[in-house]
Amino acid sequence: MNAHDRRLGAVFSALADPTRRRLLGRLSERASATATELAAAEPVSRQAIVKHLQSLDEAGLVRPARAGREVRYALTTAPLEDAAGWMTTVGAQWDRRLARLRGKLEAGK
Amino acid sequence: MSSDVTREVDLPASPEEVWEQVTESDQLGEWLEADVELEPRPGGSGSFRFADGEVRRALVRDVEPGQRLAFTWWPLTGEDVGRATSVTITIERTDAGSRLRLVESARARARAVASAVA
Repeated sequence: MNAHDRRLGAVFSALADPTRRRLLGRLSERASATATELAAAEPVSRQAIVKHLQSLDEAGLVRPARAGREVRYALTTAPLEDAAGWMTTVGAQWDRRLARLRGKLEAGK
Repeated sequence: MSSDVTREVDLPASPEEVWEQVTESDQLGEWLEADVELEPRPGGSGSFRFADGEVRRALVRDVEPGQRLAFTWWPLTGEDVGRATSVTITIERTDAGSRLRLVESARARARAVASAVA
């Protein structure tokens, strides 16, 4: 497994969780936020939010930056584009292949 | 956002005929546009040489004749080398023939690679 593969795997597991998807949604609406700000809108503890933010950081989806005493998290989009790119490429490949399969079976009738 | 590519296609052929297209190397190679060698049994290996030069290896994980074929595959060439994904093809009978459902999943990738190299 290469580095690219590991990163993409981390992106997919990060996105598998509904709380983490909501956090990404909130971060997409503003420049940055602290764990405390994000926890205010979630039914889980600040500590749980910090853990989710760590998973998102490991996947490269958010970037923490220290601002004085607090850590502010901001969204990064490159890994999402990477994952979306994979789905687009592979989806288009299967569309072509399945169209050929269908054509082959229609021709055989 | 999901990490799976899912496709469904209705085919004018019986599940038995579609199964041949999916599991017989020569038939599969025609619609994949690749030189294919596939052993359609659990633990069987597969090799795919595509027209664009990409070469893939596969490990068959699950076979239910006429219904389900699942394998993990990974490229030996190109920038995605070693990046394994799992492919599951299921076939069901319909009034007009068959419905083929295909899922290629990157989510099971790490686990799939671990079992492939074990």
